[in-house]
Amino acid sequence: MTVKTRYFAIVSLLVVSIGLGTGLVAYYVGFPTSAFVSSGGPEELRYLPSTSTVVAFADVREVMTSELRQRFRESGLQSAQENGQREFQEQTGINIENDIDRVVAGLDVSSGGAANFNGSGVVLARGRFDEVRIEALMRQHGAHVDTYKGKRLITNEARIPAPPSNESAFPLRPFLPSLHRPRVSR
Amino acid sequence: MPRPTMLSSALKVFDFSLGQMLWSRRSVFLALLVGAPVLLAVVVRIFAAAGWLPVVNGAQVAGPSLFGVLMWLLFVRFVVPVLGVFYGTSLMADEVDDKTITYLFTRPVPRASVLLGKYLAYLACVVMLLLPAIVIIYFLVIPVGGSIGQGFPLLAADLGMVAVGVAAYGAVFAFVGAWLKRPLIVGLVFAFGWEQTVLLIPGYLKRLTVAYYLQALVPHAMPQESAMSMLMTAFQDLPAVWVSLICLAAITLLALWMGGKAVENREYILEQ
Repeated sequence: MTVKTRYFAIVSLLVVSIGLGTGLVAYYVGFPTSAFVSSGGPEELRYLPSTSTVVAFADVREVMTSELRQRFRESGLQSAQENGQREFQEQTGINIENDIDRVVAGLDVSSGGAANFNGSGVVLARGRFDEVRIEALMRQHGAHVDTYKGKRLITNEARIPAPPSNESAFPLRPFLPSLHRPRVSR
Repeated sequence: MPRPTMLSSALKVFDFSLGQMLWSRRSVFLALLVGAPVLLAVVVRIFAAAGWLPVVNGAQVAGPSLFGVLMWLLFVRFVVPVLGVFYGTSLMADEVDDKTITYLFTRPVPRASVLLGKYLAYLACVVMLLLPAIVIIYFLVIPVGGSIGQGFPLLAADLGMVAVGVAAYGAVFAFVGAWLKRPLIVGLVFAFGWEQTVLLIPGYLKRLTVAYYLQALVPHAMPQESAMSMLMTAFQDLPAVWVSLICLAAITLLALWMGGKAVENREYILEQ
């Protein structure tokens, strides 16, 4: 075997070994795929607790502009739903059709057990919200303001929408234990 | 002086054939064949960075899906059979065409060891070029909306599948090359005529192909890019992975044994 052939074999073996080694480490450790390209899934997933048993995501904007939605609207089946939407908008100022872009939800049944379904959950919505109006509404319902990692966090035990200020995403159902141990879910 | 064993003779032939094969004009063709998918992967990566990747059903095409399509359409259906045909059929034919086979046959080694050594050189040469290319493609394409860690089992399975595929196709066409006078045409008809046709026909005939067993090892879903693919999917009854591995190993060993027998018994007449 010539030196040239030997070098070629070594380089080839190195490429395959490094590739397989990197893949194996990534498989077991799960480090980010690349510094330049984000990995799959919505970025809001990182706000969900790592103990989430069920995770859901909806691109509300995509759904609202979809053909299916237009047909549903034309069919006249949504009059009851519209009443609920109107009531929600009157209270919070949020128009579900236009103001919410994406919703991510996580359910953790491990804390309460799956049998009696006493688990906790979190729902996060990203969009454009009237923070002052929502804060006023929450304060009416006995909410109080905390600071979490430099952000204002409005919480209440009655589980009414609680937006952190300066953020376009807010938890619709605050999951306080998970917020105080903010481990990422992936 | 004791006669060298089959294995030691084959390793000697392997040693000088590998360099010869790797730096031959045929390897330029191999480099192009392997380089094109890598180039395609680079283009995909650039398009992904620029946000120009196509959107299908409202979602951007993901890296793992693209990798699966590349593996199916380029490697499983084209690169692996083509390499098998072009390299496998030429193992003995090149020596006949160059009129150098006499030098090999006048050595005190079993004739079959010439074929075996050359086959091992083909396998090493092709594997050394194909596997790094697949690894590079994987690391270029998978991060586009996918995860290197999650996709790692796919990469491992693909590397194994390609290695097994080139071994099986190479052995079959090495036998064809050792047995027939014009093996290239027969090889192309088998790989792109017989195999493609029989896979579309329901029944047992597809068991007489290499592709039937190789497709069972592909970890990706078959892409539905044409009516032909849809027909293939409709009539697809893939064997279990362990059955495929056993059958491919049996095909490889049987083809090599028959190739060895053909080389031992055939009289090669060199044209003057």
